[in-house]
Amino acid sequence: MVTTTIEAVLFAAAKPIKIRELQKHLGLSQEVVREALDALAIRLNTSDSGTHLIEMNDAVQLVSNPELGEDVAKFLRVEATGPLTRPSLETLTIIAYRGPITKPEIEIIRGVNCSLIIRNLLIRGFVLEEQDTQKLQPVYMLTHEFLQALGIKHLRDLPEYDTFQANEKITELLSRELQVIREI
Amino acid sequence: MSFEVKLEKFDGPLHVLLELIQSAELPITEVSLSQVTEDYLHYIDEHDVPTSELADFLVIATRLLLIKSQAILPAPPDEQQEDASTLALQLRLYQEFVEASKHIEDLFNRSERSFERAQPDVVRPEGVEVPVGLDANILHDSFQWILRRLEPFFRLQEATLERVVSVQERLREIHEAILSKARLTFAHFAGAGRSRVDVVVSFLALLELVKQRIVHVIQADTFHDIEIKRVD
Repeated sequence: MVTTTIEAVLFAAAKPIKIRELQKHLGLSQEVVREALDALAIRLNTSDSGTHLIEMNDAVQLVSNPELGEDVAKFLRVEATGPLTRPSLETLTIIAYRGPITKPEIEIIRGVNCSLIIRNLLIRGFVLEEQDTQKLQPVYMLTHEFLQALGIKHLRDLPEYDTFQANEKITELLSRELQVIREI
Repeated sequence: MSFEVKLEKFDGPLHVLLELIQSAELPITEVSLSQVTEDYLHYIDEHDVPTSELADFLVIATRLLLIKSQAILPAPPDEQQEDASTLALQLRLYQEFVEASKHIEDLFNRSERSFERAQPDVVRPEGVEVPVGLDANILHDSFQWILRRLEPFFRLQEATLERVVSVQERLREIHEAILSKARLTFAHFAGAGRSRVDVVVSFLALLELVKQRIVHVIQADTFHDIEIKRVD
């Protein structure tokens, strides 16, 4: 029953909804909502279903089945977007595998200033900026729109997601280089 | 507009470095980095690197020169080779992300994609909408927050600028000094009290002056002071 309620809410809301908002407004515990979302994903995320459930940044959203992308695009008269430039693609990859991530961290990995690219990605709606109160600076993550463009349900559907996300060498490099920046 | 597009399409310094190493079919190691240093410097000379990225290109160039100098010159036993291994590690990690970006590109370019439900047209109420619970303190807090966020930004900017400007400046300093004195020593520029970065920068500036045949240098023995003479 909770599963159906959440489905109805997500359908009506259309936008990505934070999981803790669902808890708050439906008066449910984190465990119950989690269980219901998992059940909903199992029910919806199949070839037979027109709507699918995607989840990222602790928010869930109902979207159309990616397999039907071409037909839906035709109906909505959405034109195919141009290819991504290499700098955009690299930056998006870093944000996808390592987000939420700060700008200095992205720049350490790419070895170059990324202000312009990040601004362009923000304008195109591919990335999202949030304030990290601990790091005292903005952190970047992918938007649900970009996840939709990739046609996947979670970031963990990306190839080798876990390897990159928890890569100790990257973590070590970032902390070492950030230390250098702070010392200057 | 076209200027911005051009900027974004420009390959970053690590990408240039990676391509140089890959085209020479070398593994990413300290040795291969020092082997492609010349080609990298040549690349900066040949290409019109956008001003906004020049700083980053020069930082990598400086690190490459440091690695090369460590490979050529005998280093005191306690000297750390940290920078060399960091650059090699950084480049290897960058390469992994370049590989991973191919997955993202494939996913992005295929026709399989989802769409979200179009937002219904909302009729906006007349008049001004004031958010509930807004008061002057919220504005004050927001402004404080913005100011705090700006601090690291200015610190970083200054630091980067300092690193880039210094080689050029030191070059001029040495050049001017040698014009007036005809004979100098390296210790005069990089002697006691100077930071390690300072010494490296002075040394790079000196190498550049030697290359330009403005000065020639004499060193009696390993680790002895370097005598700088004007080429007349």
